[in-house]
Amino acid sequence: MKNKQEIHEIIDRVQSKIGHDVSADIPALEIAYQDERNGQPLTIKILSILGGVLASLAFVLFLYLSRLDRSQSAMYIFSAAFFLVSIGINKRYDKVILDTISVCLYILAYVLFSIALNMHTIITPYLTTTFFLIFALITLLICRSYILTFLSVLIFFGSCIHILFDTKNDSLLHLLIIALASLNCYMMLNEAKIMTLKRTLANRYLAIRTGLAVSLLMSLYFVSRQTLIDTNFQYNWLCSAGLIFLIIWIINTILNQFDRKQTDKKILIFVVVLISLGFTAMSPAITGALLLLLLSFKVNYKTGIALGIISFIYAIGIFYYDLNMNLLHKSMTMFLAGLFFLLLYLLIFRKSTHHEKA
Amino acid sequence: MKDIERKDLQLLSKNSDMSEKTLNHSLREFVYPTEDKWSRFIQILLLTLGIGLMATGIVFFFAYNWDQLDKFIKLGLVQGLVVITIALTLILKIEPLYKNILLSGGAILVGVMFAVFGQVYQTGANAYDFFLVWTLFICLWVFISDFPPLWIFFLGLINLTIYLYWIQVARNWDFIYLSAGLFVLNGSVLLISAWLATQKQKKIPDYFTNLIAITTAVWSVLSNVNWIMRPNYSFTEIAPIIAASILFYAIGIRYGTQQKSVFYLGLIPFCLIIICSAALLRLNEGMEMLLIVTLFIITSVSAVIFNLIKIQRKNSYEK
Repeated sequence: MKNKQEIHEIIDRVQSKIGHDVSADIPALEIAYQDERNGQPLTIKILSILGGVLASLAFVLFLYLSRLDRSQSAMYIFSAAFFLVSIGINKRYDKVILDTISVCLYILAYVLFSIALNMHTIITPYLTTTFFLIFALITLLICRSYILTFLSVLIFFGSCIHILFDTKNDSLLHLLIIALASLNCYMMLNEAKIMTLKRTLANRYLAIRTGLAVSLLMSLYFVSRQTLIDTNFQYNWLCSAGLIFLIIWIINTILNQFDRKQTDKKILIFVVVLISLGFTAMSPAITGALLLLLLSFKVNYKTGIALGIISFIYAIGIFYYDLNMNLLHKSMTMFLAGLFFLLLYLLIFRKSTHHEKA
Repeated sequence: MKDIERKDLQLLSKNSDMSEKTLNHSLREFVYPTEDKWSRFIQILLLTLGIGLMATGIVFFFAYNWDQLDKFIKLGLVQGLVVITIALTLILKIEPLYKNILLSGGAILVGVMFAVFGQVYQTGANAYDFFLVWTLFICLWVFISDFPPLWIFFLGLINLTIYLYWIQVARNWDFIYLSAGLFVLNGSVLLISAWLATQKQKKIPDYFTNLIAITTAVWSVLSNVNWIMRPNYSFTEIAPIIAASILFYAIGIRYGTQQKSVFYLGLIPFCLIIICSAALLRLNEGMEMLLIVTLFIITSVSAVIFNLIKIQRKNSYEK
């Protein structure tokens, strides 16, 4: 929320940087700043989510005690009604104050639907999640608000992962990871394009981006341990290869952005990246987390940077924990790896006083 | 004025004739990192990876040989580390922030030292003993450094020590004594820091007070819900908890209104909502009451949020 004077100041500064005039609709901007949802303090966001979760819990208990959960038709009706009402609320009044109630109804719709569906005697295991996937897709298509968009992105990819596991197609998870990583790249690198493409999409850009980042980490979690999925380890190598390719491509765009185009230096940088990441190729989680970190830093996306750092540390820790060696060899490997990075640091930053990138 | 952020450009592009190219240009100018920032980022990335991996490698090396080491070397190693860190804190002429970080590292090493001591001599002490000595031996450093993260660590140790004492020694005490005690303890720390911040103009970071406020809130809700849900307490046991709750909540609300703090005016009503829901369920555990609780939570949380938005609007107009 900002006043008129501040808005004018912002426009002036933008104009002076880009060198030409921008004609803005000041009254509309003022209203936009008032309704700005991402400017809401964290307290309000957390409160609305906690309230929604607690109320849903109480309602599920009510259904259980009143034995309504035994009636399939009642569950279907409740579920459909909640789904429609929550989306209706969000479409008509996109206000933070109504987030609590719509989040609550939205989650309940899913829970009740799965209870009802599981009352059928013959049911294929992945039917529930397939329906979830469809519902999430519908929400994404018609809903305009931040929180439901974020939730439906998570539900969509969560369902995808669940279906893959249920149909025993674990190895396809690697394809999903590559797809998610590419989607993340597309979303973050084409920020301006997406924001100016369509007004409605611009609204939800931040929600989709956060949803995609969390979904990527979610799917990377499953490939971080060998015990979690039952698959051929060669797929891990392929997955890492895809992610390394994406990382090198991003580094290339960054280098071009700052006009560093000498081919010999570029190749040197790529080889160093390839070597460092090649050693951890059996754990795509490391490369994936690094990819998210790089991307988020490139567009200065704070949540992504924080998520990237945490998952990067987690992935490295798990990698060494699961490494099939005794403690002595592990300690020596770590020491040598640390030495490698320190030497790299000295090589890059001692030799040249002007800026260079690896 | 503040820097232009992504959301400013987003709103501007939505309400103006900015083209994709212009938006991209301004994003690069105002939001995206510059070449300097990239170089700093890579510097930090390489240094942390290098030092982090090397240090872990060294620690693992000792862990591998731990059983074969003489107890003199074992203890000497850790105590040597403590001495070196503290000596560096005193000798090095660096920024106070780095000194404080070093000292905090030393405070953590004290815990490692006691753990090794316990392992070498098989003291067979309860876990709470271990945390108690750890807390006692670092308290001087905590007071001297006055470093908020170290204070948080120290308060965490105190909470943990008391909790473990309750689990391992005072087993016959009811949970309500533990929760009420920790509620009042953390609440008092919060009161003191709020007093220091407002009356003595001492700079206390928000994350510090907020974290203690959340801890206090959790213990207050636990102690209140506990006596509400279980009827076997006498009035003398309940009265202090009610009195403390009224006192701390009232002070918190007053403080929040004075400071126009969205945090306190959100946290305390939320605690009250949970306590009231518990009371409603205590009255009648039937299904009708659960429906009422559902509606109660939704309306009351919405009302709280409505109020918070109003406060926030007022704040931004006054600015």
